[in-house]
Amino acid sequence: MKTTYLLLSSTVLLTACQSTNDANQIPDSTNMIDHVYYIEQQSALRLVESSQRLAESFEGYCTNQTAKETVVIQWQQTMQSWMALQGQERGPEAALSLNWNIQFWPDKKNTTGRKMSQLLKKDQTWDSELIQQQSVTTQGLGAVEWLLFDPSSTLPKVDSCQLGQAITENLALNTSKIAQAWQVNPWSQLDETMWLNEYIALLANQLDYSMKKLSRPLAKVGQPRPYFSESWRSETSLTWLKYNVVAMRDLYLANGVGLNRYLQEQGHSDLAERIEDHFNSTLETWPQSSSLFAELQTKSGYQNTLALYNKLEYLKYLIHEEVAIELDIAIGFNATDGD
Amino acid sequence: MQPMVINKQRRSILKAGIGSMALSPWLTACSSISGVDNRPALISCSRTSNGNFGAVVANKEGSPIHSIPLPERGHGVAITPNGELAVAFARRPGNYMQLFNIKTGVSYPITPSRPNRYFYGHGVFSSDGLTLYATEGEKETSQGIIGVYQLQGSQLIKVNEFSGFGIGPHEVIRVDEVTLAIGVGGVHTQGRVPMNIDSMNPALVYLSTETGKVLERVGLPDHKLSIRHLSSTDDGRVLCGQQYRGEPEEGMPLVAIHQRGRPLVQLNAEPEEWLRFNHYVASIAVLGEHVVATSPRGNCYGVWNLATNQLIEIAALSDASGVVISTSNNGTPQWYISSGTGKIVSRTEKGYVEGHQTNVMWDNHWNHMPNA
Repeated sequence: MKTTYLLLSSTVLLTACQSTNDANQIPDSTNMIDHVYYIEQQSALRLVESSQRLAESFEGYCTNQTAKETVVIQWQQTMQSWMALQGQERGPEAALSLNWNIQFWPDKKNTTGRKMSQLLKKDQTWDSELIQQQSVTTQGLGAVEWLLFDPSSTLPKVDSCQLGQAITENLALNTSKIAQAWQVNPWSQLDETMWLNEYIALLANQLDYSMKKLSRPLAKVGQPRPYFSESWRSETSLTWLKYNVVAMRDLYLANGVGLNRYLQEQGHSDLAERIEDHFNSTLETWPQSSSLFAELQTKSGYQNTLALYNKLEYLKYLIHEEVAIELDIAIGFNATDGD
Repeated sequence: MQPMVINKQRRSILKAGIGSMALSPWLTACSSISGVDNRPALISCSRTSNGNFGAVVANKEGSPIHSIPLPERGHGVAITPNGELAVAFARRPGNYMQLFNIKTGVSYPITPSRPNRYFYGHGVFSSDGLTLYATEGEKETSQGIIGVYQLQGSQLIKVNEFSGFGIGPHEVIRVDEVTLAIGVGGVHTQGRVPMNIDSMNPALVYLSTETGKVLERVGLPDHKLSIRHLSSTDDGRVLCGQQYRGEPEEGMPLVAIHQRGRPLVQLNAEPEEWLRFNHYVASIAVLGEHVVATSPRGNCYGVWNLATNQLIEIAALSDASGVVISTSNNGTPQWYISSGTGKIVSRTEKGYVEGHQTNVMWDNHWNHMPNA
């Protein structure tokens, strides 16, 4: 199996080397598109690298009895990498089509748990091809989390091990397809107006998704639904959300030539400064706890989470309202509609 | 009634952003072989680069030929069967219809909504092109109305109203010479805010154009599935696309097919697959035994095999919006799918997909010229 991973890596890296810009070099232009594309491309490469290490560690755990903790760490690193791309709805279609295969959320009805249990009951030798034919709920990072953290998981029994290896192998395949898709700049043909729409939608979609990760578990005031939390089994929801915000700040700044600078150039320095300051203050005051699931069990935890949600909502106001109006942008022309 | 004249007759103008559109490699490739085909093929409402709204008449590649300014955001378009005239409908709750000439881009005085009426975004011409049927509603109640208009020269004169078929109609199509199918959403809105989610009563309704009477009415098991967008097969079956107004975590079927005299049959997909559509289907088009349904809110479109009632694929397309059937340069019929991001995708029934970028932000629906 290791051979497979090496092949996947080399395919992506080879293509990267063949492109006109070295994939690992920050673009020397001051073009916004180049830098945002570079950030996305690098995020996709980090995702494929971490998911390949996850597959390798799962195999090592099951065949060489290496420590489960190693698999957990690699799962966490893959989750962290995924947060840079999670919730985005702009980019190459071949990459976006796999979003739900990488992670299915929210999982109101414990579909992941039910379908994973069903797979384990089947008398089946699982491999990545068979996993590709299964529900997306059993293909992604949530399925791996179930194997690693759910009490119903029978790891390291043979059947669970085999299923986990097939899932992580398929995950590595899917992330390599994502990285492959990002080898081509999807925005190279856009004029400035269409590009700005895309760029701001990229940010806005990710912010909307991040907010949903809080609003769904917060539910109605005083009646939280903690099982709607992302990664409630591993109690790491707030850690992942923080990486979302870090990724959005990186996209906003885009190596110093992003939206922040564009707003300044267009005479909106005050707005640019408010957005950057709000990103920074949100991250500097991030909750200590990593567990949204635990936070929502207490009144003070609920209030703290609500305060965090309000900070993201203010970011949304700045981007959806002030930026969109100042730059005359329609965020998701039809996508925010229902007619 | 004195028509509210906002625009005098005017020549179409290609907005600077559209006029300076870079030719895509796809278009360039086609052009180098056969020259640019500048015959009108596709029509849609759109948003312009400076934030205004218009209707765009485009060639087969989606390159604008005419841009007709609209006073407010448009939605659906109806084309006369001879391909001479089109009407752009205001997005609901809408206050105008805009008649224009497809070949010249000349627009005529708008047709305003009557007092206590809104336009609901769609309409269809009779087969002789002389009568227009538009979905409308009463302002206070959203009671559904089909406004019947006679085309007299460059004017649309309201001559009748059909009512009594339900609340909140959206798309209307012609299924034969004397029958309309209407997606009756069931939702009473104030502005765009729904007021009756718990009691909404959507339906697919067939109406006689001769009598205005309801010929048949069918519903879905869940009353929160608002029936909105329609398409039909060559053999007369009607497909409808829904917007789900219930809990966000419910993966409800959003497309159904109907044969007269039988119940609606929902298309198959797993709940987690339906969730990809984010509770909303915008446009539907049938090609052979397959159907494509777009979801701008889900940033995707789905492909089903109607013979097996099986989901074939969900493909990502940011802000996926309109879909029509048209023929490629080599005569192969295929889906043309638009996007609010300007992307256009063509897809054959066998699944061969091509895409290219335009600089038009396409609105929810596309229409294609007869025989284009």
